[in-house]
Amino acid sequence: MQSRLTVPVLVLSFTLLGGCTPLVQVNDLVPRSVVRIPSKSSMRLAVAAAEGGESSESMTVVVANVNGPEYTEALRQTLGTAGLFSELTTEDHADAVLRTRILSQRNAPRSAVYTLLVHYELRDRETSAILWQDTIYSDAVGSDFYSGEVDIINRKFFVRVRAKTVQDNLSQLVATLTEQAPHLKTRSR
Amino acid sequence: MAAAAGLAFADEASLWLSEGVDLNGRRFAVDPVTTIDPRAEEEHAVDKLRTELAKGLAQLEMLDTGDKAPPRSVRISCEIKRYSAGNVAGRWIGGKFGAAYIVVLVKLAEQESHQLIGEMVAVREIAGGGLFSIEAGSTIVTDAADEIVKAISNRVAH
Repeated sequence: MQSRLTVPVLVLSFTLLGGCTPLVQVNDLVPRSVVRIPSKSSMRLAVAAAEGGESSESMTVVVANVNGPEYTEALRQTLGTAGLFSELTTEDHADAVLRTRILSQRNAPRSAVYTLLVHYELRDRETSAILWQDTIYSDAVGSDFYSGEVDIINRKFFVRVRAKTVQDNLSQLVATLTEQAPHLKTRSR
Repeated sequence: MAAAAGLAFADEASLWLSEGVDLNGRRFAVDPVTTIDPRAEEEHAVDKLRTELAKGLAQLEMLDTGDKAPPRSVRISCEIKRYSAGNVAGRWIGGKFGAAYIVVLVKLAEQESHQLIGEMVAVREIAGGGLFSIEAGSTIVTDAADEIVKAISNRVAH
């Protein structure tokens, strides 16, 4: 009996899981408002892989979650567009490394609110001295995005809410670094 | 904050502490709660959150009451980022349309140096329940305070 049930259960599980594939795309996470900054740091920057991003809400996996890899790529693209640093490069060739940890992302499916707390830290690659650090908070409320569709479990809706939150966080980062970057100095520069 | 890599990760409690920070034996003072959401002021969520936080910490004998002037107290500052008391009819009809929610950004700082030593986000929401959720706007504030106190006490060895 048990073995006869195994195959249908597995098929059903894979079907459900397939339907739960994260829909968030890196392009959705990159803020549209970021423009190239005229004054920039002469430093070469490496963007380390973002850590964290595991949600404490187990149900979040049902819809798109924002995890390290997507965040890292969105971060790279955003900083590349802003042109805050002379070059985005690998860690071996960089003067400084930007480390990121997603401290908290909170929401649940059908939830009204999504929040994101991210710690950013810029370190001298040679000395490991902290050049700059900050924790940036952003959030979004589903009702801000509600456009009339009566679909409270519309996954695209939740992706939009998440994407907006990430975009806001990255926009704040660029705004902060725009002020800081020209004054940052590593040991080698 | 300390190095991101050095930040302690508390899976359930969601309170992140700077590297090397030890909350054992510390007492906590609650700063006046601030908000950027006028609804939190209108609904008295600001005052209620501070009161509930102090009450929760006092029950655990972790509140700095000022009478003993304990050394190295920790200040807790809370900012209500989002608040909505929602509405019963909306919750009756369906989920998020009448949801009551509160989002609180919590920062822990050294009393004397003002150095930031910890952060967390508390989120509470009631999105259903119809008539049974009539007090949701108040309940979420109490629940958020409980979550913050629990997150802090989880980082203190008992």
